[in-house]
Amino acid sequence: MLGYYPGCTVRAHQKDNFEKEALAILKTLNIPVEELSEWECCGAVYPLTNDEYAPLLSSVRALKTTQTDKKEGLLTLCTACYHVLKRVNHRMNTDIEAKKRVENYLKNEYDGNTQVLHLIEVLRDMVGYKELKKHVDTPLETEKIACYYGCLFLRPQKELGLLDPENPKLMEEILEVLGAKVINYPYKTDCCGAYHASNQEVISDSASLKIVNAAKKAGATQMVTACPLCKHNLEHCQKDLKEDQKLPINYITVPIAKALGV
Amino acid sequence: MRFPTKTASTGQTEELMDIVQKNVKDCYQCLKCSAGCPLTAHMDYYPHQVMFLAKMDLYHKIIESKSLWVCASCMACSSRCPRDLEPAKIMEGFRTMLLREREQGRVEVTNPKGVPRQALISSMRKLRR
Amino acid sequence: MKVGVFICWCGSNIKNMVDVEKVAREMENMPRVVHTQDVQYLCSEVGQQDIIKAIDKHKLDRIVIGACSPRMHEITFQRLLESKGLNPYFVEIANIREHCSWVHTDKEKATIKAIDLVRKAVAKSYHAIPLQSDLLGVTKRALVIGGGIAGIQAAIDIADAGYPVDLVEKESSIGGRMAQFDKTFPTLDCSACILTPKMVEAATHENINLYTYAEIEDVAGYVGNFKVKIRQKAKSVDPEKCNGCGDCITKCPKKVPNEFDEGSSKRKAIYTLFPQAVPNKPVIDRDSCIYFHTGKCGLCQRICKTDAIDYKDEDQIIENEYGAIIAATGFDIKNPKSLPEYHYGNHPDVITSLDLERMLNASGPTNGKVIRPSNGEAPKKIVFVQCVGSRDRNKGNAYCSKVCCLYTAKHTLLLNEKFPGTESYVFNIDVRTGGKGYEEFYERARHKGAKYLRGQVSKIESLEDNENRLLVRGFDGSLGEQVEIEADLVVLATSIEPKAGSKKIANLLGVSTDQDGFFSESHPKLKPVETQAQGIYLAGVCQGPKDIPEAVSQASGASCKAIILFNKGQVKSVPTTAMVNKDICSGCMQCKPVCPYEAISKDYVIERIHGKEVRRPVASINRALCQGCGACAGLCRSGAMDVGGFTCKQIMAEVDSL
Repeated sequence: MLGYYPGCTVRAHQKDNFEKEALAILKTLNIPVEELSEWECCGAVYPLTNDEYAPLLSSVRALKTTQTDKKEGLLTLCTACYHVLKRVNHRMNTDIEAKKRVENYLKNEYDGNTQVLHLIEVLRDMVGYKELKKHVDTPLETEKIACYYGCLFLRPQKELGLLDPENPKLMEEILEVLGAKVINYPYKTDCCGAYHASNQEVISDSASLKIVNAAKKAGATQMVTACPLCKHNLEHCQKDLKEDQKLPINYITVPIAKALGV
Repeated sequence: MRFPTKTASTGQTEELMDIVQKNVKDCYQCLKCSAGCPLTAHMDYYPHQVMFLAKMDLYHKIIESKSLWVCASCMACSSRCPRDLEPAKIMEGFRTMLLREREQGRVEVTNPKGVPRQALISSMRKLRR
Repeated sequence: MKVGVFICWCGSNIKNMVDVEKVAREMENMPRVVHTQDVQYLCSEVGQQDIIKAIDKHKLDRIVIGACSPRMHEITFQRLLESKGLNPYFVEIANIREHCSWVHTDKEKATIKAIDLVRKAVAKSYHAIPLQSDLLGVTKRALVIGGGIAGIQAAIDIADAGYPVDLVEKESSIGGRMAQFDKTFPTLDCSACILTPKMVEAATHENINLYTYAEIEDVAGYVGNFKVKIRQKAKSVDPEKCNGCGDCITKCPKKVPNEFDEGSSKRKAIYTLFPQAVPNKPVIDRDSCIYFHTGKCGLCQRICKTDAIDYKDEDQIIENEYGAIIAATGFDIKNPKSLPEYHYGNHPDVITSLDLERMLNASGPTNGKVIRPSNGEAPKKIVFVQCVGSRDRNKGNAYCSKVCCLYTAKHTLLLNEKFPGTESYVFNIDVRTGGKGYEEFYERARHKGAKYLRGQVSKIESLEDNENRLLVRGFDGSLGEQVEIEADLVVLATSIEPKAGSKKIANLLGVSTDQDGFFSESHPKLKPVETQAQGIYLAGVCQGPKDIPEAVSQASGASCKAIILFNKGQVKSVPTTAMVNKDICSGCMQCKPVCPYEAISKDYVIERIHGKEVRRPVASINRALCQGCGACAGLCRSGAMDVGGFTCKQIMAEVDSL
């Protein structure tokens, strides 16, 4: 049984159906999932400073709850949450000073053994491509899908380790199993501009537009991503275009749900 | 600018060292960080220039620069630096030094309603706005 | 016994932190010291004369020196004593520079420490015993491991001096890396044209024995007397009968990746390495051959007109004795797959500089044409990326590979000459042109139009356009902006590393390697061809990255050292070895397993005890192998084992004096 960690934005953006589709997909594939009994926002960014410990607290609480809830691992859908939780986990395992201080504050010990998993990681490792193929209802034949990874999903490789940081292929592999044609394009590992959406829009718009244009030029009809902020940025940068010129941005669960007939 | 000139006090260099724990003097200006940064178009000092100024102890130019507030910590530079110096971390170090003193933040939130809360939270944490 | 104590000022090195006059005065109080003196420079002629005068005047027979590290001048003082007819091991040196004046800042305390150090040395000298070197015979035959340009040059030099040399090469032909190159910088000589005369000379020289397709199996012994086992791998082709016609190669059905072209073309299971191979006789690669896997085929044997194919051929172990060994094992290039931002392995048009060199070579996989591997067309825009995996503490090697700046300039020149109309862009951090004619060569490259961009490449991606080009994202430091180039071909200048398997050779030879795997020389400045192991010398890139002129110079230097050894015919062993008192030794042989050099063996002595002749075992030291580490002496329960120059009595006297 995996412990599901929604994350603040995914839970708030229910209209997008990211959470709903993801849970339905996992149910179809017989992966038992239950929401964690208690969770807070992970913090959205991982603090790069070496001398601060307060930003780590809520993430460690979530990791600890996974263990007390007796779950095999922590499942998350948002790549930003994945990045923060996995890096905090790594810090707890390698930085003795941080571990001591956090444990002291929380008055609780954490042994660093929680596994942090992402949805697509679960599809590759716990379900497997063969099993996935069996559940395919309608192969996605007409779609030319470009996969956008963004920055938090890939770097730093030493701590995250799930994907090749310069040539990630996991989302493409899953979509190919489901019958889609995947489009490769440059800039797919570049940052979308992230939080500048709220304070200096021109930065995130220009960064995201570069990515969208490259995908369009390579012939994509759809782009998928796994981070709510990336999705917002990639859509927002196209706001001045005409409807038929816009590249639809979807969560990774959309084509998967379509193929599995969920 | 006439060399030698140093604008960073020993307290400041020590504070930076405490926060980032990287030896900035090791940078040999290969320019790989600036080559891969997706947001250079909006910066006044490019990542390699920020590293150069940090190396030469010319903190006053970094503190006045826009670049610290443009960096999105995407870690493209950090993952490729041949000296493992992590320019993104250095930028965060300077930002932190400024933010820990009152009213040194440089950005204003212009769009609080139309963005996912993730953006607001991360913006708050990184830029204190 | 009369002891003389001499304290050196070492100019101001010792004098400014230690009160040297005081140290000398303090020593007057020690028993048996009849003369003390402080001297400005003991190593100078004046200082040496002072010592000689004192020896003559006071009839001194023990000398104690307080000065710099014995590593500097121990030999100087030992020779001085020899010239006065005294045993060289009657001099004792207290290091009051590196161990005292250079590392402390409190003059008073440093002086007290210096007094203690010199007093300790005086106490030790009371118990000094005379030691003699043994003279070991030298087998006047050399072994050169590695048949590249460095190995070939070393072999030729030793052979020209009149001594027999065995040249052992792992591949089926000598030639090494130079055989793979097209042209060499800065002269743009055709590489094979300057190499093949040397290869032929090595093959035909009356004093050189060539062992190709052979590896070193085991090395035992010591300087002048190395016992080496060479494994001559089964070639499966009898070189006496084979006439080099090549029919077998043409008919062979099995194709495998050709390592000579770095995997970009195929060779047959029976093959010669390259057209000018020496010896030009094929060998069968048994790992790939169909016959050796399944028992079927056998075409080559049927085709061969001279009946030279011998499937029953077996590996042979050849044992020989050598006086000196030269290691010239060469280098490999680092696989840039470990630096994923460069996209190597994901797109066929990202290649290494060695791949490009093979393409330029007329007998290479593309017959001298530079083409885009993806579609076979001529590239128009070529981007060169320097320092891939070099100068990189993060994911690569920390050192600079030295030759890449120059060979990239060479590549741009060759491309401009052979394929005019190509544009070459070189992204570099620095351009290092340290050798003779190198800066002028770089100038030439610039004049012919190579575009040098000061800045690095951050990422290479597939552009996904109709022509399947690459997007190179770098930075131009001169204009201060990001640049993107749509390239047809990207060439990575990868780091050079010591050849795989060289660590094994280093272990067999007893030579240490540094943290990057290069063989360690004895002293990086003054002894670059010798190693800590006497009789073993280094040549070529195995000791560190270098270009061809340096490799050839070093090879001649190493062969010179071997020739010196052979000319002398004898080598003096180091006398500070372990010594056994056979009267006390009980023959328990507990010392034998702790010796790291396997220098202890069991011997027998015959004594008369109670009127009967008794034969009892004792330990015996091979003074040539023993390095004087003292492990056996520390272990010996009966106190029979001691170390010359550092006897138990001497060490206890030192401790007691403090």
